[in-house]
Amino acid sequence: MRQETILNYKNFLWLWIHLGALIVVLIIYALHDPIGAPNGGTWLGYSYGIIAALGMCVLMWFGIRKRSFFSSKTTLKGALAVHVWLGIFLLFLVPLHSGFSFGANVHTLAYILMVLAIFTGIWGAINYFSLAPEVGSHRGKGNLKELLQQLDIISSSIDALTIQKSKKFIDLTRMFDFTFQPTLKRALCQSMMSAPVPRDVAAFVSDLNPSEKDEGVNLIGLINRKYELANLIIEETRVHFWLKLWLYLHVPIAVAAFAVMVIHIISIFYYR
Amino acid sequence: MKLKYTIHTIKKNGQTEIKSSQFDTFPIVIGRGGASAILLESKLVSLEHVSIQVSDNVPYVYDLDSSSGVFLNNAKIVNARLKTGDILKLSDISIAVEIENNEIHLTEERRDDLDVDPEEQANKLVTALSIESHIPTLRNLCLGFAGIVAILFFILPVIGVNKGSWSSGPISNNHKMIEQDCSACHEKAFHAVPDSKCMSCHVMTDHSPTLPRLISANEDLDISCATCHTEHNGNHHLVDQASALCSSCHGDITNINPETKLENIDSFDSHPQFKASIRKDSEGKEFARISLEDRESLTDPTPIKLNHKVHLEKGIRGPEGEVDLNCSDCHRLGKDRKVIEPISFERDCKSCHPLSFDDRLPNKEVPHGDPNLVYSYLYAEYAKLALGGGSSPKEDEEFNVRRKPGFTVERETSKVVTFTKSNISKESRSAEEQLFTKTACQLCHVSVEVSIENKDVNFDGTQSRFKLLTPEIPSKWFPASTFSHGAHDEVQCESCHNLATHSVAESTSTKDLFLPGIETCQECHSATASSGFIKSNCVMCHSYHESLTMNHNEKRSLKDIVVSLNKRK
Repeated sequence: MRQETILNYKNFLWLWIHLGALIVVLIIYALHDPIGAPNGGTWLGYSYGIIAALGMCVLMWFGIRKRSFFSSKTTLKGALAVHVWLGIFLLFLVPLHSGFSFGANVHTLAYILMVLAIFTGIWGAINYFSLAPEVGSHRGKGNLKELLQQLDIISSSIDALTIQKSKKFIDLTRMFDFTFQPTLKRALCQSMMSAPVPRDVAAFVSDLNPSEKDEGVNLIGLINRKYELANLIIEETRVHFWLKLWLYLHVPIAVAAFAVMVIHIISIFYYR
Repeated sequence: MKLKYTIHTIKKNGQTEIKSSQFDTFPIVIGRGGASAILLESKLVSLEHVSIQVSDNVPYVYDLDSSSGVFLNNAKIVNARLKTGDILKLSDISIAVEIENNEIHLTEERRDDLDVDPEEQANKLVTALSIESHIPTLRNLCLGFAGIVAILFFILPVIGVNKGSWSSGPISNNHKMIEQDCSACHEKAFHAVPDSKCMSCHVMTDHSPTLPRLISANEDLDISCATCHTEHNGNHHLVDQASALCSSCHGDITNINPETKLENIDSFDSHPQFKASIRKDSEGKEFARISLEDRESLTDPTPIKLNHKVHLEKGIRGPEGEVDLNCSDCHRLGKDRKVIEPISFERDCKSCHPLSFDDRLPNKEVPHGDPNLVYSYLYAEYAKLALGGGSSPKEDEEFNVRRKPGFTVERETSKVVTFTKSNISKESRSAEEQLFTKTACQLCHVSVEVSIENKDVNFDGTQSRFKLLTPEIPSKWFPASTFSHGAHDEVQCESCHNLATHSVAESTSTKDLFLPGIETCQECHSATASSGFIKSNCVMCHSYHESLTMNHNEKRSLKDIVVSLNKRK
């Protein structure tokens, strides 16, 4: 059975509902022949404006629904399905509301902010589908905290191995080991680290004193594991960053869009 | 020389544990591992970071090609001499240097990490790697964003700054100069623009005498200037031409105004046949609206005689030989390029029909106008002749007799050469009678001789014995509409001005009215722009109201208007 997601919730129920609604509003718009050009002031303009404003309220309601963990009337998945498809529907409804008249004013700003909110939302949904499977812990690997702890242990083990070793052994360590202090900036900017090529390592290990060879092999194993962990930490940090960044744009822009929409409504009735 | 390395470990409970180690074999390596004699607990320190060496009893520090470098008193060094008071910095570890009695004291202060929960350490690092620790909280971001837009686009416009951001669209070019002053049109918040604001600059005629009464009686009839004139749509629609604006009432006018004589009209396609406004009788001031379908009743009672047939014949005699007359030789397009100008005797008739009256006075013509004026003129001319001031006729000259072009009229001429007062009167009356009953006037006009018993007329005085029935030819037969003749310039006149029974060229009476019916218009015009028709709305022919001139004492000075409305500095 196919997994049910926010998009195909109940067999794309909300997609079909909004697609149907979109076709209806497009047909009415096409048949509508107002005096002058279509604009927000015609009966159809007002009707679409009211629908869009209610739609915005439903979109904002998701912020509340998301946080009410004990709500049983709606499922969170269903609410998110409505949220996604309704947002995309409004992308088309609002230009019909205004009759495609845009200008440098608060009314168009409301639309621009709404579009930005919707696009950051779409970006978030894309991130959710493309990046969530990338999260290590979702694939049975350790989470970021466990990775960091493991890295700590490996680093200490490498350091411990080097104590009172020959110069060659120290040189080997210095050549292949690395210090790794992860920060968000580094994780985002730094490219993945590549572990030493086995052939190079083999040459150095075979050069060691016979008594240190076993430990040399051990050391290389640890260093390889350290690289692996460091890369996992970088990747995990990146994935978490992109999985969350869109929300820090989406939510404040959506709130601003809602605020500007309220100002838009007040202003058009203020100067009727 | 010896080296003493002391570690001050500050425990969580505040106590300090001191641990010292002594070294006397130089060089002494300090680092994270490898050959380091002194091990540092930092991941950022290299395996072998620095070495301390002594030369001539002087201690030196050497960087062992460490990854993060060596800093002595915050200056990066490769090698340097150590002195008392120096601070040696290896990555995140600081070491104080003191040299006393041939002994190097190196002191490192450590916080006791052993007591710190490694879980907690890892959690801290995870937090540091998350986006949350780098930007404000969602709540603060939301409040910030909403606050900024509320200030910029709500508070500022309400207090009068950045008001333009509330404009629902660009203002029309006609109103650009008052764009800055919202209150020039918007009087009260949350109320529509009142008509009084429009009428403070524009004075208009009423649409109809019944409309104000209907509006006050019918609450549903919400008609204001702004119903049709929508602003903030740029240069479009300030004067909208949509027929729907008219048909919203006229489509149901019999319901809205049960007393109306109008029919319901939805569009040009359902427009009833035109009705011409025609005088009920030849002199009456009352008009009847007669449908063009009712061709029987459709006759013009105006007392004027013109034989179109004669005038439109080929090669009729003109003053300078044969001419072919066309419609536009007499019916001329007005300056507005819409309405045909009224016929003017001076311009259209006189060249062929001069108002001369006596062959002895060949260059004299009576004025075209009031019969009394005509008689006064005649009397004055004969008086001048009597007093010798006028020219006397030449016996051998051919008579210059009033005639219709193409006809010859025999006229008995007076042989009297000496005049008395009674002679002047007699001559004048004779000429008058000729003019009004036989020659010039009666050609076109209907004259009535005033009865001799009528005491109002002084027959010895200067009053005329004749009256003409005034021909008041309407300049528009459809007063509620304007047809643009100029816009139809390339169309032959007779294409539209024709009757089923006969054409203008066959018409012998001015009673014939050659007004085209709506079916003629509908050959090209339709309510919709489909299948080769010109989309025609109501205002193509009709107007809602006419612009009036403003009352003089309501006018403002230019300066007042510019300063008060535009608020230009």
